[in-house]
Amino acid sequence: MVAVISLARHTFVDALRERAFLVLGLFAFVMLAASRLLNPLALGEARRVTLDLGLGCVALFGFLLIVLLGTRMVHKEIERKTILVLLAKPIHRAEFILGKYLGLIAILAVSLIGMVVALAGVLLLSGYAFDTNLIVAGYYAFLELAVVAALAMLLTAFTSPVLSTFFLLGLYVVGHLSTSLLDMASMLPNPGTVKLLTAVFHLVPRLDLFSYTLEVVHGLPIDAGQILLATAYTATYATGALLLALVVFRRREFS
Amino acid sequence: MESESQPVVRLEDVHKTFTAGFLRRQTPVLRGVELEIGRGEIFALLGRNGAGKTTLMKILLGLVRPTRGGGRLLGRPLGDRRARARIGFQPEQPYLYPALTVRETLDLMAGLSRMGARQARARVGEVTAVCDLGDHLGMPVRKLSRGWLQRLTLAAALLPDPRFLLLDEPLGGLDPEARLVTKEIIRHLRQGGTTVMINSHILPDVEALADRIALLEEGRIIATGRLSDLLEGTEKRVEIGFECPRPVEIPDGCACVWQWPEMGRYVWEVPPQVVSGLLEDLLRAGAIIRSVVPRREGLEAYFARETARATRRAS
Repeated sequence: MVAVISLARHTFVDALRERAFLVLGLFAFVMLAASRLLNPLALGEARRVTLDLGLGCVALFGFLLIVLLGTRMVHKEIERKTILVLLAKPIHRAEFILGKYLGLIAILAVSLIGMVVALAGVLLLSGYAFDTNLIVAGYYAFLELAVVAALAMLLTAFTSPVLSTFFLLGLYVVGHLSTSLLDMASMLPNPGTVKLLTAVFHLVPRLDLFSYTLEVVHGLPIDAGQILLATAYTATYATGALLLALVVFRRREFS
Repeated sequence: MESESQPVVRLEDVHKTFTAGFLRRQTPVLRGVELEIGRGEIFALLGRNGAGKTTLMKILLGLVRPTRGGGRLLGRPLGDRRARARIGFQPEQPYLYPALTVRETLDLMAGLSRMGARQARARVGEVTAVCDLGDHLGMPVRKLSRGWLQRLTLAAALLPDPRFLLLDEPLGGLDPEARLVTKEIIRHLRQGGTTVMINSHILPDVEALADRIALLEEGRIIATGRLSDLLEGTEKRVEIGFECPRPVEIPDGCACVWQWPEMGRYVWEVPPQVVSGLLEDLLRAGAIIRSVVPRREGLEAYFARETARATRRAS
């Protein structure tokens, strides 16, 4: 576990010092602050607009962060040849994958906490009370990003950053539309196509499970069962994706 | 398990062929490498660029698997994690994280070597003292000069207190003082029983350090043995320095190292079989013999000759 923690910590510190991360973080905070400027145009729906825009901004920033850091995670090590030094150490390749993933997760968690706090600050400055649903929304965003980050680790284990980004974007979009995919399948006459779409539905991540904006906006009660289910789904899906990443990665040679 | 009598490295019939591209084009890099390196040896792996040295090193580190053949390292199969725990590796280029500081880099390497916090702190302290990195611990890696980067990679390689140390061009980019220090560190490690394998193109340094060498050419080991034994069979020359008041002609088969006829001073290099006859001739001519020094072929000349011979054989 020492090796995993070391790798995760170093990945976290290295990412924190990336200039692109700082620029992207600044951009996200500016966007959050800008949502307050739209209040006069919101015609009495200022809280809703701020929350909609703010949570959208959190999701977008998180995804961009994964594209920026996650899809290059293994490739960058190969390109810089630091992988030769790391894997020459007595670590299992699973520890490498896990350490890198946990480092990425840590940077996502810190970024999300920062952005949710900033969003809460924007709401308080606008005269709205703090809503615990915002914390749940942040947690849901974190779960979603944890799934997407695991997929990024899988993709980066065998493709270039450009292809990883392309595939990840595709999975992200399809993942958010996964329920619609099943609805669409139920309306099709061809049983073969139905089976194919159902298989795709089961393979792609159910990112629509993590949508919590409506509950926050309308102040609906928190459903603990739903949170547990989303957490279990994240753990299962991320573990599966990381195991697959390991299967691919352990066969690789670094010539 | 590792035992005192066992060789630290044993490679048996190691082949490696890389397959690349859509057409699965095959490129053989290693062709039946057999190698044994004993405990406490400084062993140099020599060869031209593309001879297969780096691939061989990567096989020892478990980064690349042999296509055929195998071997043992520190008494364990190649790539075994427990063996890797006692290996230090200094790559040719400083493959490090530019944003991390020297201390963070060493902490990372200690963590990957599975050291606990206390042990890591102690070892980092020891290796920074050995490599004189104490004043640079807080400096980001990207701000270090080539020489300091080299020291840092050596410090990282020494962290796990290795029984087998793999050094790829360890003296490249170092100033003369740092080269001396590095050579001393390597010799000191050998005295402590560490086996050191050096991959270098700076042959005079190899000659000064290595106990044994292997010459790799197109994936095959074409010569291996103790340096003194390998150079023993090479043609010897004798350097004769003398002063002579009269001008003297250089005989056939001899070469002039330098001469200053106006001052009557000469240094010639001559084949051993003509030494006694030439000395008699020179004395008869009134010369004063200042020195007679046997000169053995150096590693550079040996390397050039053997690799050229292997190329001729292959063609």
